[in-house]
Amino acid sequence: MQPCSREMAAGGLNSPTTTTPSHQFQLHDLHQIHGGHHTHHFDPSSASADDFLDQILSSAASSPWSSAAAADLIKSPWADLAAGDSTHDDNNNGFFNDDPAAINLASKFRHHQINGGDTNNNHNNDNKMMLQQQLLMASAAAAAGDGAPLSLFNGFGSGSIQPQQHFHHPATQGAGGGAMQPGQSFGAGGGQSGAAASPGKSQPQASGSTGGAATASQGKPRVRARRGQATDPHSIAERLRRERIAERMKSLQELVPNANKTDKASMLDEIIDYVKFLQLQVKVLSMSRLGGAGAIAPLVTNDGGGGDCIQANGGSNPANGGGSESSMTMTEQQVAKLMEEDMGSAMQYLQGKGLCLMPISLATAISTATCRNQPSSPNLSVLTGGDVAVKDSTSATKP
Amino acid sequence: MSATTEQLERNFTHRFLTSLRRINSPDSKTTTTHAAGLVIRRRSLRIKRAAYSSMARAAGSHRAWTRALLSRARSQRRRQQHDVHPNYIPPAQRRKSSVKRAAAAGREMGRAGKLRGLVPGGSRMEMGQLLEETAHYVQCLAVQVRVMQAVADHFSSSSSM
Repeated sequence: MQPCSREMAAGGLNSPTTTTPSHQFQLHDLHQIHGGHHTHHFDPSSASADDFLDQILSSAASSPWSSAAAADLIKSPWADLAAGDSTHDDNNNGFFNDDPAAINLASKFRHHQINGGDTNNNHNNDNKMMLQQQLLMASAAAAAGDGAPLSLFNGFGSGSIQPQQHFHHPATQGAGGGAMQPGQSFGAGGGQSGAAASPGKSQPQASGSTGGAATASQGKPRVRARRGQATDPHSIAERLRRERIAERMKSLQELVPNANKTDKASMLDEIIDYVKFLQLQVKVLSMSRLGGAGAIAPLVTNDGGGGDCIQANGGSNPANGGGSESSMTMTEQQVAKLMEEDMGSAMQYLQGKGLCLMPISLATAISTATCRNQPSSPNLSVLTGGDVAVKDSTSATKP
Repeated sequence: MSATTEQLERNFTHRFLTSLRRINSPDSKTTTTHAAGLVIRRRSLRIKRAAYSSMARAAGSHRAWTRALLSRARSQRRRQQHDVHPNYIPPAQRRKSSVKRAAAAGREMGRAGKLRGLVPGGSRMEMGQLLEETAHYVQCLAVQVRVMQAVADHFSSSSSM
């Protein structure tokens, strides 16, 4: 799992400039194939696999727009968030320290989240932004700049073109092999297998048998299996199994976003990435689930006598609004104490309270920005001390 | 949203909130003395496990992945209750079944093996069933994420300072 995603990340990050020219070259190549063999090969393939070819060509034609549109989508919230909300490096360790591949997943499916998925429409924008900010925090730290996630996505977009091109070649070759009997056998076989709607993988095999039929029928008249029909029970069972799998893949295509890939391999990759992304979201959401109405969350605080004891805090959360300053001071002292021992536990303590740590210059920038927009911002509470400021993360996400 | 998805969502929400309440309320487990970071991390792990278990129960046991997930959760719970240190894995179990299953899933050609590793119980299914289970698993995961997001929003908005 890890090496594959690292390859993808390396491919995207190391060669942002080279992927674009190769991307365009492959597009040009596909268009050439389309134009050159238009009259000859479109007839047979249109009957049996026209949706396959059409999908290749339409996706090839539309992919620059789709990747550009997606890049725009990624770029705009990126710009919004990078302006005011990028957090300090150390804050990301809690989430993505051990899994840089998670950053790729987050950047890949973020636009799906932005659009609200299928039924997320009743959520507020700032709540969505909070989750996105959590997912983006690691990206902000790990990515070199604005260009890196775009290049990652371009790497994804252009990487998908390649297998389609390889797929297209066997189709044209197979159709070229059976050229001697263009009209009837192709048309009949195409009509039969068109109903099955099998993917392109069955094409080379079927056209191979038809190619054999073309050469054999010239010598002696023998009844041979037509294209799409086989008398061998093994191949029938094999074909049934393939069709079953193709049918399942089609139903999966509707569930998974970005499912315009016609290649089985890249479709599987997409499915795998989506499952990993959903599992990552569950993990992130379980980390942010704290307190609860009237519930008690155990926290550790230091008494004067040393040692640790448990302090119940969550039930008094509404009351904290009034005494916010005193609780902030206590929080600050607790954080300072934790920072001496272990930065990670300090971060987790802060995160458990829904706070984050950032440089003081950024905090002042954010506070002036939000104070300009809203003269009264009750949720904005900034406590400054030393080099850093402790800021309420929920207010940071409000536009 | 279809009727079955709505029913699934309601069922899962009910179970998940029940288990959240049980985690949040003080019991003997949470009052042990640990570092602050560990308490939070352990709590997030418990929430994650509770989320997956309640989703598996809500989805019903006629699916292979729900059965596999619940049996895995049961064996994990049993191991945690028996052992003192939660990171301790009994050497016999580690040697035999999990390594063999992981190796079998890894030996399978690249992508299918990865998918088997992600979907619970995937190493025992063959391709057609694997895809079917993956479709249902993805559906349930989407519902799970949606509900958890809604709960997180509710808690964060009600307790914002």
